[in-house]
Amino acid sequence: MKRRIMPLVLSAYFVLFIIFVVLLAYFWNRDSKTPVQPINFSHQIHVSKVGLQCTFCHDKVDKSTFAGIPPVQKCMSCHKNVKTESPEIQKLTRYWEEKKPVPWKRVYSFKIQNYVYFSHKRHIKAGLDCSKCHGEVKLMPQMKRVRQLEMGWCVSCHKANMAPTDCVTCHK
Amino acid sequence: MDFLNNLFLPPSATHLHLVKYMILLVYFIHIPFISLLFGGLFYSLYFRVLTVIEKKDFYLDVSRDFADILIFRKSAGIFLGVLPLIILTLIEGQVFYDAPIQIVSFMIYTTILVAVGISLAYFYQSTFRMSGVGFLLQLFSGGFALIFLIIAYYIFWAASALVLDPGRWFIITQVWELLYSWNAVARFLHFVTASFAVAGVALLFFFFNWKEFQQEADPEYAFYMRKVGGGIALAFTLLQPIFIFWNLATMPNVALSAPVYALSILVLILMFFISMTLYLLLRDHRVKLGTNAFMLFIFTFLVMIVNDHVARESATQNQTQVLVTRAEEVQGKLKAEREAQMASAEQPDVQLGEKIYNEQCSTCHQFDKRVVGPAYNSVLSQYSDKREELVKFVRNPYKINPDYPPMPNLGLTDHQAQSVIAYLYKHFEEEKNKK
Repeated sequence: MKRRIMPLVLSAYFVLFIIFVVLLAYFWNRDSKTPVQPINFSHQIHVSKVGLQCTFCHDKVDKSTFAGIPPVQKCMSCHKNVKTESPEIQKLTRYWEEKKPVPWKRVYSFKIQNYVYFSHKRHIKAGLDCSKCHGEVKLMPQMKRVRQLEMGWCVSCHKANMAPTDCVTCHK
Repeated sequence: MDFLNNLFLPPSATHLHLVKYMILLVYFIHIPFISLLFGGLFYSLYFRVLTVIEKKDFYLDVSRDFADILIFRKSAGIFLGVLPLIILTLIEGQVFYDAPIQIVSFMIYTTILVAVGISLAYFYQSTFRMSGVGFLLQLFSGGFALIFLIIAYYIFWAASALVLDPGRWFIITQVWELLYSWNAVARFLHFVTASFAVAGVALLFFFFNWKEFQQEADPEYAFYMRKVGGGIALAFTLLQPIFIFWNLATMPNVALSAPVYALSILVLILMFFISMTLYLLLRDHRVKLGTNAFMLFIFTFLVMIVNDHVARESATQNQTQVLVTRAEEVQGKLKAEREAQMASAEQPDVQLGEKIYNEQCSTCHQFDKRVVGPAYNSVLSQYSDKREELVKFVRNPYKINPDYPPMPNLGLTDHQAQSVIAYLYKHFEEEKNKK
C-alpha cells in the first residue's frame, strides 16, 4: 500500500506547485501589462530621432499635478503636413476631423489611485529626471510600464533623496 | 565607488551580445561547483560535530568523506570558484557601464569573501590528513569557511535580485541595504537548499561510482551513506518548489515574462523526476539510480540558470538599449570628429549641412512649400544680409510667426548650425540661378 501512496503523494505535491505557478502567471501583472494604444505612437521617433523635449508635448508636467497628454491639435500642428501618408497619422487625422480626443490607454497609475496624491510639478522642481520613474522613454518604440510605483519604492526614493516621508506627504 | 566605472569602457553592441553569453557560461561553471562545495562543507562539519556529541568514530569517516568528495581539489577552487567571479565582476562592469547600480562593488565584496571562504574550506579539508589536529581547529576553520560563504552568497544573490529591479538601482548604494528584499531572501534560501540537495545526490554519485571509496567501504557504511545521501537529497529537493514559487511571487514585474513561467514549470517537472528517482533509490536500494538523479540535477541547474538569465535580460532591456545607443553615439561622434578634422574647423561644411538638413530639418521644412514650418525660399530671402541671426535662431529657436507651431531645439553645435545655413543658402542660390 505504502509503495503506491508515496509516488501519488509526490505527484500531487508537484502538481499543486505547478498549478500555483500557472495561477501566478495568469494573474501576473494584469494591471500593468503594456496596453494596446489606439495609435501606434513611438516616443523613440519623437524624442530620439526628431529631438523633441518631454515638455514639448507634456507641457503641464512642470506646472501641474498631472503631466498631461497633448491635445490632438498639438499633434496635428506638425502632422497636418508630416507623414500624412502613414496609416497611423491617418487615424490621428480622423480623430481631428471628427473633433474627438484620442482615447489613449493609461500606462501609469497607482493601484489605489484615489488614496495617493502625487504631483509631477513638485518632482520636476526637485530636479528629478523623468527616467527615474518612467525608464528610458526615449528608447521605447511602444510606451510600457517599467516601475510598479509601489509605496515601498516611493518611500525608499524619498529617504535616499532626503524628501519628507510623513504619511500626509502622499496620503492627503 | 564611482571610480570603478572609470575603469571600464562603454561596450559596443556586438561586445555586449558576446559578454551576455559569457555570463551564462560563467554561471554554468561556477554555480554547480560552489553548490557542491557549500553543501559538502556543511554536511562534513555537521557530522564532525556529531562525532564529538555521539562519541562515535563512524561519523568522523562520514565527515571526512563529505569533505574529500565534495570540496574537490584546490585547483578546482581557483578555476571554478574564484576565477569565474573575477571574470563576472569584469563582465558586470561592462554590462552596467555608467548605470546607477553598485554591482561591481557588490561583486568585489563577494569575490573577496568567497576567496577567503574557499581557502578556509581547503584548510579544513586538509586537517583530515594532518595528524594530531584538534576538533576546535577543524570547527573554527570549517565554521568560518561556512560563515564567509554564507555572507558572500547572500550578497551575490541579493545583488542578482537588485539587477532584476532597475527601479531600486539608484536607491541601493550600500551593501547592507541589499538585505531588505524578500526576493533576495528567496533566492539565497533557494541556493542554500538546492546546494544541500545537490550535495546529497553528488555524494551518492561519487561514492558509489569511484572505486577508491567503494573498496574501502564496508557494507554497513555504504548502506548508511546511501541512506544519508538519498535522504537529505530527497528532503531538500522537496523544499525546492517553495523557493521557486517564492522567487517568482517576489520577482519584479519588469523581470517576468511568459518564458520565465514556462521554464519554472519545467524546473518543477524535473524536480518531480529527481524526487521520484531518489524515492525509488531509497525504497528499492538501487544505488545506480544515484547517477540518474545527479545527471538530472545538473541539467535542472542549467535550466534554472537559463531561467534566471531570461529574467535578467527582460529586466535589463532598457539598460542594454541605453548602452547600444551610447555605443552608436560614441561611434558617430568619432566619425564626426574625423570628418571635422578633415574639413576646416572654422569653415562651414556644406556636405555636413546637407546631411543635417536631410536627417532633421526636412521633416518639417522644404524650400518651395510649407510643411510644418515655413518654406525656406520665403525665409532665406529675408535673412540674406543677417545670416548670423539665422544661425542663432537655429541653435535657440523661439516663436516668431504665430501661424506656425514652435520649432524644437535640435541641439546643434555652432559649426553644425553654420553648416546647415551654408547648405540652405547654397541650394537656395543654385535654384534661383536656374530660374
